[in-house]
Amino acid sequence: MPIRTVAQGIRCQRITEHLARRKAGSERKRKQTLSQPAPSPTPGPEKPVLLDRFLQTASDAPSAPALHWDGGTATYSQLSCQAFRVANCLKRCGFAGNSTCVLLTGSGPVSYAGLLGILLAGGCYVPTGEHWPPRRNLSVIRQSKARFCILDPALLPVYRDLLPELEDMCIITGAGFSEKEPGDQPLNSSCSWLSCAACPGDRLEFTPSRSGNDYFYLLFTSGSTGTPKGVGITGNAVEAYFSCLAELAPVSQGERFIQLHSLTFDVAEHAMWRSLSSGGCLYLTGEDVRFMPGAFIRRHRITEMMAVPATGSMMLRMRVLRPGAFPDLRRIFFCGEALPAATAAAFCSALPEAMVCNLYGPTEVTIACLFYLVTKEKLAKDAINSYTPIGRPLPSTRIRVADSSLAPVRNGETGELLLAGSQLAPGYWDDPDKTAAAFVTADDGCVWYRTGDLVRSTGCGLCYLGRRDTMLKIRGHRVELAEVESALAKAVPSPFAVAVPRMRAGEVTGIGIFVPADCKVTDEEIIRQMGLTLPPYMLPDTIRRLESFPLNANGKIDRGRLRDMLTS
Amino acid sequence: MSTEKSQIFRKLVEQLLQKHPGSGYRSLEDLPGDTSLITLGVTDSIGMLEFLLSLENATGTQIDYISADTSELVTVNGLRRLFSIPEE
Repeated sequence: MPIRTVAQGIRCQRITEHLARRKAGSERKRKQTLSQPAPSPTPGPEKPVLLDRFLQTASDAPSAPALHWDGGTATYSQLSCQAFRVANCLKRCGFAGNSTCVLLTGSGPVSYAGLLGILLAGGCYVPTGEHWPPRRNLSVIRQSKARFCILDPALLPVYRDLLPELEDMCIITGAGFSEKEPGDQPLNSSCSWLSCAACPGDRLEFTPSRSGNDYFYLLFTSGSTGTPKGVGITGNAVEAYFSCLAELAPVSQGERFIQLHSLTFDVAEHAMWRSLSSGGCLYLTGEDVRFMPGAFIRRHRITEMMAVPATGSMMLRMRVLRPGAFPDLRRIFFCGEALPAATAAAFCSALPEAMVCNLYGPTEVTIACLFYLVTKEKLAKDAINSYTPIGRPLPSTRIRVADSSLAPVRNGETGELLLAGSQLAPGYWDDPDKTAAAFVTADDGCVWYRTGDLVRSTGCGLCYLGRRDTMLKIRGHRVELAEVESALAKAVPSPFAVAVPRMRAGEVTGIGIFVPADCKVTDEEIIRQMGLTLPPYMLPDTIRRLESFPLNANGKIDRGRLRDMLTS
Repeated sequence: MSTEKSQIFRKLVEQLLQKHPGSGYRSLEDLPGDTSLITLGVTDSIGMLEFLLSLENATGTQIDYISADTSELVTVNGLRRLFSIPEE
């Protein structure tokens, strides 16, 4: 992919002037433009440190590599140039601060130019999934109330069924790093299309202004009612996480970070900002590398990896965790689901000099908020049920292990984990009922988020013991079985159509469904219909047809036995 | 042995296709040889891992996944080369 030459791109003094303006100017209080509950003020840095650090690198080291992808690289100068174009274009189109802007950019480099531009324009970015069905992306876009989106024209075929459904949106192209221009635009009379390529890339045409309490990103997770639910995260919450991480695991300038996740998953924020706020280079990967990143990590001399435990377990099974295999890898973070102790121990053995850290945190509390630094010696005595502890809270976070009345349990007893602190989301997007159910005020007057995770306090901090509901984690993705069954019910309208997790060595590796033997709908049609609303990771990989369903003592379908049948 | 390997390969691919009926591919012959099975929707990352380990067990060939070209690991033609599986 040819790279547009923007050596002439950004002029350093302009960026320096911009930074100086930011520092000198007081933050303007802006009216909340979204129909959301206003985020309650949370303590955070006085200015957006992450964004400013990115701009500082663009000023100080413009030719340093910022992004690397299959087929190209972009320097800090090139990336900031494209981000400025996006920001200027948004502002010219009347984009208001603290508004949402959707990314129709997949996981490629345009995503990063787009989201940086949105942030510079004072907005909140809303990623969509390039592998998600159009209906799901449309649901996300409509719920977000976005009137603007950034589109990578190279992905027009991916979004061909979605684009005609959009109404009254301003679709911005031209944020990419190639000369490729959009092809035929899908017919859509109510949307305006324009390219940001003609906007200045060397300066901002407006005085940027962000409050720390403005929304930074908006993600949608699996919802038990069959509709994805939105979680808006504020700038202060993001800054709080990365500030804590910088203390825990400092980064040197010019390091190399692997991006193993799509931006629809908040774990992706970790690699992105650890890299772009420290002058590092972010290595973007596709599905084929994510499945087996060992060779990529070695070839590109990656220094930090943030992965879901399933990736670590795959590396273990592929026999790549051997001494000396990854001489440059300094830090390995795991997050997103329970980390098998055997996987953590294998990383410690293969990389005795590296930091291995298990992170824990729901999307509602901004990426991660508890940590456990793994050593083989500690793990041998701390692991419970063969899983690595989730450890202690970051300084930004308060924890409580509570009973059903939200009162603290006694030390060592099992209870639900409640979280509070400056990383907490203000609530669910446009959903006061779900917010009231999950963000609760306890007897201490503090707002706590109910994680639904069962934990026990031990000498090393907390250990994860399971869920109090039917939510699953599949390769780090939250999956509500109720949402899977809601989609299944549309394909197979029978009370005997059931979804259960498929397990392997205590880990959920997929979903299986059981339908009655006389069901006339073919397997292909079931998958096709479910795929109209569910992303790939929520689709079943096994379909079984049963003459009769096992029932428990109460006459209900015995899901435990179905799960065993699937495993066997 | 070559014929046996080919048969094993065919059987494992067809098992994979049965597990993921949504891909729309029915047989080994339907699959484009140089496109990733993950991209084609034939399997996901964990399914691909299980497939590779099954292929290793069945053929007795072990792959060094640190030096292997990842793009070879996920296509029909790449797998034929890595595991020395001839076309039938």
